[in-house]
Amino acid sequence: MFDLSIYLKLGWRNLWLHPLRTGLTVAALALGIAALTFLSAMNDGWLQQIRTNFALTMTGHLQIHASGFQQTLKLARHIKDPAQVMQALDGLAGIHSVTSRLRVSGLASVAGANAGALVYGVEADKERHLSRLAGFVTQGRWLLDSDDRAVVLGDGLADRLQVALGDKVVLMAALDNGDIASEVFRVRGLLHSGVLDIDDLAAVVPLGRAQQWLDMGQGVTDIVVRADDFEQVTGLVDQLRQRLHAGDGSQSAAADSSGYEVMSWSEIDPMAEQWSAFADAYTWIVLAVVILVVLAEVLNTMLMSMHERSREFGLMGALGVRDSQMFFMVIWETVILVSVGSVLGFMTGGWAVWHFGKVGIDLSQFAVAFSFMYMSPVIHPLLAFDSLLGILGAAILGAVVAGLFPAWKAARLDPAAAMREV
Amino acid sequence: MLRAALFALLLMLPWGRSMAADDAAYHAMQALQDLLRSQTSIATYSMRVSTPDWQRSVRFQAWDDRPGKRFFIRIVDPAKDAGTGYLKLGGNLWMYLPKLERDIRIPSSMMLSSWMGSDFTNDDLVKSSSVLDDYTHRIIAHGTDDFTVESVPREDAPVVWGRLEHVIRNDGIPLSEAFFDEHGKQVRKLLFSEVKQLGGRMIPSHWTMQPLDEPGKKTELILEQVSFDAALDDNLFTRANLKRAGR
Amino acid sequence: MIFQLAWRNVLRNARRSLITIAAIAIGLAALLFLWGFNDGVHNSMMRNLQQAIIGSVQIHADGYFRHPKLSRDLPDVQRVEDLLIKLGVQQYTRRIRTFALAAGDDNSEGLVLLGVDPVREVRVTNLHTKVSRGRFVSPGDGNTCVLGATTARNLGLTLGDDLVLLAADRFGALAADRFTLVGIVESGEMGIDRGLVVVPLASLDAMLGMQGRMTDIIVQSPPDKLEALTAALKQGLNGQGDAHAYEILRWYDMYPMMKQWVDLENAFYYIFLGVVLLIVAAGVMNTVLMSTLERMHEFGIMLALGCGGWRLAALVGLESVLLGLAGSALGLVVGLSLVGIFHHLGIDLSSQMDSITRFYINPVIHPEIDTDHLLITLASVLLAALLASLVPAWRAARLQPVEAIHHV
Repeated sequence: MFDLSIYLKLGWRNLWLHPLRTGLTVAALALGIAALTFLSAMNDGWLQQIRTNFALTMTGHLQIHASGFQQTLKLARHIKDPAQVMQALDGLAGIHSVTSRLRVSGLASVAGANAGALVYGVEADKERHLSRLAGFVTQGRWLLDSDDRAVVLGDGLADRLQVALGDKVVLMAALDNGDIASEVFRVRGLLHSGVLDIDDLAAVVPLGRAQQWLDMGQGVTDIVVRADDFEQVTGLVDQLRQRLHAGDGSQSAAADSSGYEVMSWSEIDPMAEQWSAFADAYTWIVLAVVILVVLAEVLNTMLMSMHERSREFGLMGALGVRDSQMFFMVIWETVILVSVGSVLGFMTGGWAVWHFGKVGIDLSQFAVAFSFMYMSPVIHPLLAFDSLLGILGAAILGAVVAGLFPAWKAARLDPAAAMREV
Repeated sequence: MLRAALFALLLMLPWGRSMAADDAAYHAMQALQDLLRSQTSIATYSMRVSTPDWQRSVRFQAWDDRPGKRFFIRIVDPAKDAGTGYLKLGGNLWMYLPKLERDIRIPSSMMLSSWMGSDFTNDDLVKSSSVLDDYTHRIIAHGTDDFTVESVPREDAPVVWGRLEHVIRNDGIPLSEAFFDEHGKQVRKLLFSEVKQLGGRMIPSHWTMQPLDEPGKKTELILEQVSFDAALDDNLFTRANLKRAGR
Repeated sequence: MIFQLAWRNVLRNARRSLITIAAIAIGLAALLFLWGFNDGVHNSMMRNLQQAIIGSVQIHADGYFRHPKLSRDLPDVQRVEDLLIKLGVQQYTRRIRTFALAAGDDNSEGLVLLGVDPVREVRVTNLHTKVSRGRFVSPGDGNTCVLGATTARNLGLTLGDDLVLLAADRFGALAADRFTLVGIVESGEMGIDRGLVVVPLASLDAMLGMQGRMTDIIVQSPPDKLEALTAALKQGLNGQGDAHAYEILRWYDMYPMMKQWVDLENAFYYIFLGVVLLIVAAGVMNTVLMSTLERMHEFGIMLALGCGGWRLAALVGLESVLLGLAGSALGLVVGLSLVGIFHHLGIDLSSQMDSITRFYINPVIHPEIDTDHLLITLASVLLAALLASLVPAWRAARLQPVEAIHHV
């Protein structure tokens, strides 16, 4: 033990004896770890952004319908007594906000033009707090609770109808008995979300007017819940299914329409979830290769430094230092190098994540202006805990490889051969 | 005749308790309505649709029950379409095709599509008797032989037009009707001609609808025969009758 | 003279040289592999999209794409096809496309209705390979149809059932006809599985009164010939002074989403690879600096023997260039081999993707690399290696002989 501590001291001294070499090795490690931290944060930030944008553009984190509605989209399958559902939502933890909607497909027409439309009757103020719709208004304004015959149109729909703010639009839809009913609205706002289905189809009107027009009484088709964050969703869905004795929306159209279905955002449209799963797998392959490159570069630096020190090791060997002692000395040096490098790397990477998380990385200069898929061209890196663990693992693996191999080489050096080498 | 359905609808005649902004205009429109409409009618029409590229015509018979908000149309000519029927019951429009031996409810997404390729829409058929009290009327010009009535939809009326202009001869015979959008641009135009003795009245027998955004296109509707206020059998307005292939 | 010296130095210190070369080669090979992976995904996505249904180029009457109306049919189908033959295009087909309603007993579903030439269609698109039950429409068929799986389920139809389709005919009048369901397509793509019905061209022609008129001509073209073909078609169809009668649209003029997605992901990738490049450059600099450190003694002696500082710098620089070139060459060979090997083996991501094909991505990825990505990566690595050697060269130039000799 006493024997060993000398070599610990010796290792420590060695590092200080060659500040440039030490500095280079630490820098290589730090740069690699910083790069990994930053890249995986960029990936996490991107995926999180897709999911958040998707869920909050329109869908919400979860929705409650009359059972069978999501599959059939028939007005007949509506929630007759929203108050009952609201009661079930009472006292559940993790809910950010709740709103009701009436969703029906119909036809929008003006003098000389008409186009298919998806009509959303919404609660103006609650909707503004729940989804991002209100934020997409590019012309005019979002609905007010005091509005009656006001409509906010997707800009694509407005373009097809050739209407501007203040113009009259007649919306037409089939009632649940098949009769067709029309209602007149004034355009108060235009919105652009970048999502084709919304921009080309959406006609957003006040819920009260929609209920009157479609003869729905107090009925609504969707009760939309925004949770505090994604982690709450599964728990909330389970609790609500229990409280409402509801299904998961997969039952066939023939199912009894008196019950409810509770669906999470990914069940309503599995696209965003699948897409982010794929993008995740994709980036992890890329990250794995990057890890490999970092390891190789660190190993290279260590090897080079070993190469340079062969004379020194040879000398020590000739002076009677045992292989195992040399081994421990080099390991000790590596532990110090890796620890310092990792801390520096995490600090640098963390700073970059924090900085770019705040200002964002604007990709629009690389790619054409794009307008789709819930994507924004500005990426805000975000470090997920899982990714952090992964990088830590990679760093430790790096340390083991980077430390063991040179140590093993140092220990096996033939003193005479080592000293001969210039 | 199909007057409640096609004619009056096309004319956008005001009726019922119209908020008569202008008494003279209101009475003129009411007179027009009295001339062209009855409670019920049975009529035969031919319709000719022409564009710069093609032309086609159909002949059909129509049974109209205005108070019952229902009507029935059966295509007679050409042979290819003969037997095709349309039944309006309340807010629903059904179509029957002899080739398929079944009837189809025209879905809301097709209500604004053209009826038989003409410049009239399916919705023009269905809405016929409900839209007319949605306007207020006033006389805006007096000529030597005629005068012009302007009809403006009420604020909450589900009507796409910004305003209509009817030109009416002093003897009550309509001459034309213009449809304007909200910004005052004329969108389509309906002309009346060939005043004839039909069904015991002097009425224009020839209507020409021209959409102004499609140059060269027009739809002519010619009233060949009509009898007003005939008794109509309830069995006429049933899906069973619709499915009974042509006659 | 210097060159020979540099060459000898590189060869003499074989191990040191190898480590440096390895640093460069590993970096370049990794970058090439990553590009290969990325381009492989993107190119197959774009190919699949074009082959599924929309083709590489579509030719319509002008204005048809934005306002599809049957009265806007192609002015002269024969002329277009003659031109295609003259241009040496073999994969093309004609279609009638319109919007239809599938009328169920009490519900209806909006569909894109495609009338296809059963013989030529299968040579141009691979929709027929996605038929999971039954068969594709074939020559000699009467009123048959192929439906997407989701639509078939929504309408409650199985093979052999009749489907009534409702559409506006060429004159704008409502036409309807009955079609027997002979095949169900299951592709995993929402736009195909839901909202599409395919019928034989002749049946649709009869139903809509088209009398031989077409709305679309679909052309399949390899990506590298796409732009030239489009230009030639525009020249041949619209260029002869006659009114602008045709529109010639590339797949991404019609459906820009995927191209935008690819552009975005490439942008994301440039940042990623920029960081990797930084690591590689740092690695090269480290090895070169480290070796300079090691060679202090040698440099000191050279300086003492009268070799000038800048000559020494040039020597160190030249050595780095040689190492950089060797490393790049090795990296290029290894990287391209990796791309080649995995191109044949394929990288199976199906476990990550629930084996669902969506967004036109194959779960098994076959890397391939675009030339521009190859060149830009190669140039960047070479440049990085050269820049990294500037620091050691500069240090060598400023070395004091005595200090250097005494360096351990």
